Amino acid sequence: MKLSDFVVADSILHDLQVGSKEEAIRAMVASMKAAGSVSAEEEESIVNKLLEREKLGSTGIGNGVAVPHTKHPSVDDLVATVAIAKEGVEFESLDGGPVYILFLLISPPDRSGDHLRGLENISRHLRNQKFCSFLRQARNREDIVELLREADNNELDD
Amino acid sequence: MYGIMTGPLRQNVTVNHEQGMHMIPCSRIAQLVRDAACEVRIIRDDQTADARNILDLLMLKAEAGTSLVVESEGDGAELILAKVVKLFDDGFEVDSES
Repeated sequence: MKLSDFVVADSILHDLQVGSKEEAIRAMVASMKAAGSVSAEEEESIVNKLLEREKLGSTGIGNGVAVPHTKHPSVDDLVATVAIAKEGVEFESLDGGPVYILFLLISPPDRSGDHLRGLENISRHLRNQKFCSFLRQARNREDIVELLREADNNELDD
Repeated sequence: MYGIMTGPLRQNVTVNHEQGMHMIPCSRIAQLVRDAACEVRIIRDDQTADARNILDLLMLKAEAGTSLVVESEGDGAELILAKVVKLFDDGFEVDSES
């Protein structure tokens, strides 16, 4: 599984400017809707599921990274988007720090294996300091798409 | 009593949660061991995860039924090993939601 298999390029936000976790999640889902990967009718339901999931424990996992995610019956396959918040967003992270890199995942309810593979894939790349550093320096969506491609091809490995 | 240097303590566990080790179980493990004085590792075959690191744990990609080894070494290793094993036995104390 590669990032490009499930990250919807047209929904990537290279300059997310929001004041809260909820605003970040709303902006990312809205961008997925605009890119056609989630339907307008399901947008609010997906946002609510993501916010409910956050109540179980923040997906801000430390080191400036958050991976909000949920399962939702309206998607047939794992879909994801990426956002970079250069100013940082308060996310109730485990280490207390703001998040700068957000990967948001939505997976079908009956595919826990794909869900784990998607999380594993993202985790593997987020452990790479070069990948995270370059993501935070991205000037536009194309920069991020190119970085995801390079990560998929292991061109950023130390 | 534990003054003599010994190797790491190990115990086999099985992922006892139908959704596998997704982010909440991984977070629970990381939070449990965060303040421990000893090293704690979760091992799947030839892959070793630092139990404090959620990204490491997610990379184990451990689905329901996967056999893992919990390993601890250092001060308080015995107690933390028992706590981590109990967390696995209890299905991470989470519902099936992601």
